[in-house]
Amino acid sequence: MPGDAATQDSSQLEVELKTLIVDALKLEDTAPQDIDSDEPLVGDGLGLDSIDILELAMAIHRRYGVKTGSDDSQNREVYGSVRSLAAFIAEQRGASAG
Amino acid sequence: MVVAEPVSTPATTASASAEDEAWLAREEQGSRTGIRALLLVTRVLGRRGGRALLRIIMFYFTLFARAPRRASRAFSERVRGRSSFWTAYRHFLRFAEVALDRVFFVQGRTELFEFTHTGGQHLRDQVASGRGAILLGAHFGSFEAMRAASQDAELPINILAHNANAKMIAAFLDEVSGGRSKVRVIEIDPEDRTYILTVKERVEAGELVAVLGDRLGLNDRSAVVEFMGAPARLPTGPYIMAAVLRCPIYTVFGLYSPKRRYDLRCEPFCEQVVLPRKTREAALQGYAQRYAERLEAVAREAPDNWFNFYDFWSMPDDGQA
Repeated sequence: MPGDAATQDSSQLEVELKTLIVDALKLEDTAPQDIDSDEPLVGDGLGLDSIDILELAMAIHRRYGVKTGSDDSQNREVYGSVRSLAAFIAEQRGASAG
Repeated sequence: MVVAEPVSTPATTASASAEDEAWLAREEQGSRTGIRALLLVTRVLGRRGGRALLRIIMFYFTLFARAPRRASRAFSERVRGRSSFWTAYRHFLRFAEVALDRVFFVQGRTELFEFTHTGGQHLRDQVASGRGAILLGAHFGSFEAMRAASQDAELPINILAHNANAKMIAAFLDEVSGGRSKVRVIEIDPEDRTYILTVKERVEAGELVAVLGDRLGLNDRSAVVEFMGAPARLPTGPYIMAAVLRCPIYTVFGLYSPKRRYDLRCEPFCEQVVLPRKTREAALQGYAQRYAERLEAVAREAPDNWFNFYDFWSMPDDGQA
């Protein structure tokens, strides 16, 4: 079913993203598998600060060619967790491919 | 009537944030009232009358505002080797005069002032090149003056500021200019770090983003520098931002000297911030130290333009999130 393929695709992307986060931000005491897909990226979750978010956005742009939206409230949602970020990237890539 | 937009916040901090928001909304209302009162004063009294009124107000302020007075005197001791009630009074008066002049700047009443420009061309060239840049300012003199001076009025400038300040600045620009202000304010929301993506977008669109090089934001990265002969903590966020965005940094200072003179200076600070992987922290400290030296030079030249009325050298906790 196409739905299953999409789910698998996005969980694959989530794993990739976790590795990207750890590498791009040089998180020393966090391994990719320690990151929960639903964990908030800022605040009580991973505790990323604004500079981390900026570096992550640049890394995502380099890797996936996906630019962040210009809408503030959308950015807030997209950068909420690994899951929302993966969904956004998948959607953007799908849109540019289609 | 304008009411502060509620900001969505995580549920865990909802009650505290609701209070904060209510406070911010009140603050916004309060500042709107204050701004209108200030506008009325300038309309009725003009710049001269307004300045006369400020002398009386600031005399009483100096008498009763103990903590700022102490900070001002300590600063004067450090720079001039002496201080008195009157050095503090003059210091506060300059601050108030610059605040008053902002009204005239935003209204475009540049004929009231004498401007001297040094290096304004750098910013016009930068904008013409289509590449964005970071402007490094400080709580020093007048940043408003920089934009008010006619030939700079068209520069696409964004100001990065904290919630309460951002709302105040936006309200001020909107109120005073009658909604014609071109300056945009990017609000630092401590609950949500994605405001940085707005900074990224504006710089990539070839605009200028003004940030403060003399005060730490919430959880900002920082370095200890030597400033006026003692260690002080300055933010390093602006340099990391410039390195990541691959954009140049310019320093901007607007030195005020009574009664109507503004000396506007813009200097290239760094064409490209380079942060080698292994010596990143040392490199960042180096940039912050260089800025500290620039700031010290102008602060010594015009000490009454120094508008940090607290112990600048006190060290906050090292905890960084």
